[in-house]
Amino acid sequence: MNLATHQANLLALLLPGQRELSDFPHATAPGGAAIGLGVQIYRNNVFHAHLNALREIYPILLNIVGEHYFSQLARDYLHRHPSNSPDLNHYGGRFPAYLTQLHNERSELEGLPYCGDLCRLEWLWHRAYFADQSLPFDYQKLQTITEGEMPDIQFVLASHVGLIRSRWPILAIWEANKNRLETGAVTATEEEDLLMIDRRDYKPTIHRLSSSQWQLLQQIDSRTTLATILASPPPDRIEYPAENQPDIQGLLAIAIDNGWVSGFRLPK
Amino acid sequence: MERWPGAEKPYGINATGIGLRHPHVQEILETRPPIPWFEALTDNYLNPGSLLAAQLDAVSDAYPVALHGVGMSLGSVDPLDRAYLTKVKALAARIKTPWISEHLSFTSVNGLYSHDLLPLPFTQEAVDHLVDRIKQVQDFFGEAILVENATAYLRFSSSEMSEVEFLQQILERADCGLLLDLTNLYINSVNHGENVQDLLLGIPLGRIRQIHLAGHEHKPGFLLDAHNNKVADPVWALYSQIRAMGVVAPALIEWDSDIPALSVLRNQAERANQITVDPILTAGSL
Repeated sequence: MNLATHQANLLALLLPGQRELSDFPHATAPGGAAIGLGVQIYRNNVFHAHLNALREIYPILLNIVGEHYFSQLARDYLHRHPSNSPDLNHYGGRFPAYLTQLHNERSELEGLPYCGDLCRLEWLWHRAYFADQSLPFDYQKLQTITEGEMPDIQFVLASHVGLIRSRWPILAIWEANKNRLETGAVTATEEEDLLMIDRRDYKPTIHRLSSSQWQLLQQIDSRTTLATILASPPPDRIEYPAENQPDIQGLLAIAIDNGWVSGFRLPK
Repeated sequence: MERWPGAEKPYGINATGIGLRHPHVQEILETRPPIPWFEALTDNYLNPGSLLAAQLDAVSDAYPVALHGVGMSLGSVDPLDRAYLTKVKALAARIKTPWISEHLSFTSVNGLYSHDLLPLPFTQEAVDHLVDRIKQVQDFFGEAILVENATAYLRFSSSEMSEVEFLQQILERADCGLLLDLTNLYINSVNHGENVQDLLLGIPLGRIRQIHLAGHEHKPGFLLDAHNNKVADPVWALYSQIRAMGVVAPALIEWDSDIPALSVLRNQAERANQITVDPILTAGSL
C-alpha cells in the first residue's frame, strides 16, 4: 500500500460511516491488539475534535437540544460535511443550512422551526469574534473620488459585521438561553427580526436594526452602488411618520462612524 | 538558517517553559510570573483580529513564545497549504517567535481534515516525502523548524524500519530540529511493547532542540496521550536520563484538558528544572 492509499484509507476509516476495518488488514493496535482498538481511539479523537468545535460555536443550540442530541447532530454533520480547512474555526459554517434542511426531515425538530436561523446568528457571532481587524474608513481616499465617479462607488462592510433577518424571535431566544431562562412556546413574529452582529473591543454584540438601517446595510453588503442606494424607496415597514423618514446619507454617515462600513470600491 | 527578523530577545529559554493556555492568560498578563518562555498552539492564533491574538501579542511582548502547530499536515500527500503557511509565517514574525514546531504525522488527505494527528507507516516513501515537505516548509519560512515524534495508536506491517530509524533519516536529511516528546515516546513503547531504551538511545541527541513533558491517562488496554494530568514518574525517569546524557534543550510542560491552576504547571516546571540541574541525583529520588 503506497502512502497516498494509506492516508486515504485511514482517513476514510475514521470519518463516520465510511469504511470498514478490512481496508487495513495489516495494522496492529496497542498491546498487539487487532486494528479495531487503535481505530476506535482515532475515531474518538477525530469526532471529539469536531464536536468540541461545534459546541464552542453553537452553545445556544446545545443548551436547547441537550448534550445527547447535539452529539448525534454533530456526528451526522461530520458524516455529511467533513472539514475542508486546516483551521478548525472554519468548521461548522454549513451547520445552519444543514439544520434548516434537517428540520424538514426529522420529526423531533418539529418544535424548533427557528433552529436554522438561530444557528446562523451563532455562526455570525463566531465569525465576528475571529474576523480580521478592519482598517479605519479612509476619508481622504473618498475625497479623491470625482463627482462623476461618486454615484458608482460601492461601500464595503467591515469584515466582522454580519446581517441576519428571521421571522422567528431569534434574538430573544438567544438572550433567554444565554441567561438560562425558559423561552416558552416560540411563535413567528409579525415583523421580522432584523439583526446586525458588530464587534466592540474584540467582543461581538448583537443589535436590532430599523428597517431603514437594515435596507442600507443589506444594500452595501450586496455591492449596490451609491446612486442606487440613494434612489431606493424607503422600506415598506412603517417605523417613522412620513415627515420623519430617516435620511439615508445620515444613516450612511452613522454606519461609517460606527465602523460598520470600512471602505469602498469603485468598479471598473 | 536565519532567525526570524527581530527575534534577538534575551530569551533565557534554557529553563522549563509552560504551554500557554487561555485560562491562564489574564493571570500571566496581570502578574507577570517569572516563567522563562511559553509555547502557544499556532492554530489558535491564526486570525489576527481576535481577542486571542491580541492576548498572544501582549504575552509575546513580555515573554518569548515558541509556536507549536497541528495543522501543517507535514506527512500528507496533498500539496502544502500555502495560505496556511503564509498565516503561520505572519504570526511568527508578529510575535518574533524563537522557533516553530510541527508533528511527524498527517492530518488531511484529498482536501479533508481530520483535526487529529494520524500515524504514518515507517517506510522509505514516507521518509522521502516528509524530508521533501519539511525542506519546502523551511525554505518558505527561511528558518529551520522542529518536528515532533507523535503518539501512534496503530502500527503498520508495511513499515520498513523502526521509529528511531525513521526519525534519524528525517532529521539528518531535512536538516531540522527534533522536538522530543518523551511522553509520546513512553506511550508508544508501552502501547506497542517496544523497548523505550532502544528508542531513547537511538535518537540523534544533537538534533534535540526542545523536549515535551505531558501527563497521560491509563485506559483499558492502552495509554492515552491525554495531556490532562501531571507528568508520570516513568516519563520523569526518561527526562532524567536524557539530561544525564547531556541534552541541553529546554523542556516544556504541556497540559491541554482539565487545565489546573497556573501554579500546578509551575510546580511541574520547577520539578523539571531540578532534574535539569542535577539529573542523576534527582533521578535517584524519583
